[in-house]
Amino acid sequence: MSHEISRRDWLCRAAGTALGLGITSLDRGNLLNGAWEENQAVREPKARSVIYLYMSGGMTHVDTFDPKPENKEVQGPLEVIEGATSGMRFGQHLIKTAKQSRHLCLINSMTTTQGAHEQGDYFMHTSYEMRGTIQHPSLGSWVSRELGRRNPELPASVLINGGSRHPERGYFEMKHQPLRVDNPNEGLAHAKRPQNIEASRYDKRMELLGKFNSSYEKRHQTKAVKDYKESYDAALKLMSSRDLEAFDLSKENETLKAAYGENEFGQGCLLARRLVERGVRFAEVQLGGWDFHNDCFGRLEEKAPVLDNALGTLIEDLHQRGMLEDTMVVLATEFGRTPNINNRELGRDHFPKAFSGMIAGGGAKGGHIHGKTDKDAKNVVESAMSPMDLNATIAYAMGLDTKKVIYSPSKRPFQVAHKGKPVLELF
Amino acid sequence: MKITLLFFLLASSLWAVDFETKVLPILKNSCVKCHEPHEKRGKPREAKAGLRLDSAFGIAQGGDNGSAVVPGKPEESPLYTLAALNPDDDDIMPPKGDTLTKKELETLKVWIESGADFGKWRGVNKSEPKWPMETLPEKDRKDLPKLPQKAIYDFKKLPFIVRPVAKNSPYLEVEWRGDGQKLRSMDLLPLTQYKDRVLRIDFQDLTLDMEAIKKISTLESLEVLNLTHCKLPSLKGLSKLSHLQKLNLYASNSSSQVKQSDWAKLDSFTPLGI
Repeated sequence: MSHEISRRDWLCRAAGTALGLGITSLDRGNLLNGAWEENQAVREPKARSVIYLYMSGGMTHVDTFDPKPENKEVQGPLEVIEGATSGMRFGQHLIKTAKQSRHLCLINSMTTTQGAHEQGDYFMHTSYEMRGTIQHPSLGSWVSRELGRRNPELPASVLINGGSRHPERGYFEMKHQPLRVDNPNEGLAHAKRPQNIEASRYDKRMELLGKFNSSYEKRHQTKAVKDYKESYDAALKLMSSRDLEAFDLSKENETLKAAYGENEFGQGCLLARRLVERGVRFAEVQLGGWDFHNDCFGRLEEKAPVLDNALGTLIEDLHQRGMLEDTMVVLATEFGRTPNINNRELGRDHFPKAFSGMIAGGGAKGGHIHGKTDKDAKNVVESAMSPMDLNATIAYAMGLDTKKVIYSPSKRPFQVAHKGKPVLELF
Repeated sequence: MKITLLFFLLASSLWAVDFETKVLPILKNSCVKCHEPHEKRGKPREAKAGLRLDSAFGIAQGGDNGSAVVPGKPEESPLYTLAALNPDDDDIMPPKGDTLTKKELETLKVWIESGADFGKWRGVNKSEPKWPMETLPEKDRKDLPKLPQKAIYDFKKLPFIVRPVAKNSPYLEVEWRGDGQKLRSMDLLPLTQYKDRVLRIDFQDLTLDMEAIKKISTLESLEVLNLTHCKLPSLKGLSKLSHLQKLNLYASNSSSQVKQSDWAKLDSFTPLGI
């Protein structure tokens, strides 16, 4: 069997998978670099882009951002390291992250109502509880819908290393679906000219294709035909655009690549930075496998450094590039893990009542801790923050109207963060 | 303008619905029982969804789910849309008992369309109804007149993006990732005509000459200047920019030296090179 794919097949894939047909959102009608543009942000945004790091499986709060060394029973065997900013403490694996503490705003008062993975993940991403009758869009799709693209050649929202669950566009149009990149090292699939065809020959083919298509397009002036034409055109445009380079990690220097961590999450964070640099508004990178029901401390030794290398390096990298003021890095997870260590398996189980999250940059206060839990890390005793509030806070920073009501095709009212209120103390 | 206003007055007076005699009876009959503090099985309950329909203040304020009424926009007002759902729908209001009749729905719709005026009615809470506005704090900026249409016409011809910093803001931001191209200084001319409005420039991967820097240095209200991955001449002229808070020269090179100490007064400075 040949590994070559047919021209038609390839073009479909380029337009379909590479661009998620998201490229049809070129409401401007063309791909000019410039021109006058309206702005849908209701206020001057603090964060022009967001890099959203999602810890899938439920990140343990006690062992990362909310250690309790005074309470040995809860703390377990891990040491605590002090952040560079006084009062900030981290689990012993977060060495690089602790060094960035002056940029971090820890949220030690997250609380959710969902204690199962799928439901928790869904709630965190959409601000709505799962229902049988409708699928809600995730925050990245809201951003795409409300603000559109910042760079007309790249999608507004990208998902790197996504699992099988959210984020999705929900009831929004296809063009708001986050573009998926499943392997950051491979970049954007099907976006290069097949190597066995010369450029001149390729251009001829495309010209011929355009001729064939034009008569069809004239006869069938429907939205679907227009959508497809636009997505093909945009795919071709992106192929020859320098923005395609954004997906190519080989352009980065080896030392920096290594610092992010030679793993999918680390490289994913580096890719997210490259995309944001080129004008992508919302890049989510997922790190799975936090579900430590057994051997919590053994498994942390592998997982936590992956997070630490990527997060610590990402913050430092953004700062050095002068991008941190405009770029908000968010760390979120579906729930925390039980402060009590189960003795049988030395694991921690699901704990929705209290957990931690983090934001950095995008106008957020650095060296700041928001909210706290009691001495057992079990109850939020100050400034509780729900997933809805976190989403409202991110939406606020990006200049979205958190009170705006929009209607799904089934005529139901929705808001970007549901009932969430932006937490303005974080800015 | 006058004609529109006249039409508006006529329209609203012709179709205006008196709240107290036409709308209030509908609310009392179908909505208020749950949407006011009430008793259920002998126990006191708050108004459902935090929405109180027993006062003008409560209706204007909305509930836990945000606004109930958006004046002028029935299709964005849950008070109307939820009542107008298909009776089989899970979200229909009222959830039990008779749904609103077509005539009642039309009355609600027209009342909202014509501006949702309560007349003299205030209900149990005597406070004046306050329609919610976006209440989050913003940077203080002086009010400038709306951008003239001619400016937009001029900007449309430029090779880079010009847009207001926010919806309806008179201030502007400029953005261009230029794939190594040369920035023609004449393309900055339309911006210099609105130099009190340009707050932010993001130029990436461009070549700028002295003329371009000179033009940028006349944009007196400029606060953020990102010139990253660019080829730059001397930047001396930029020191005139008295409102500048941030200068980012990451991965750019310049024909002359740029000293960090020259820019110490800025909130944020990122030096040349990598």
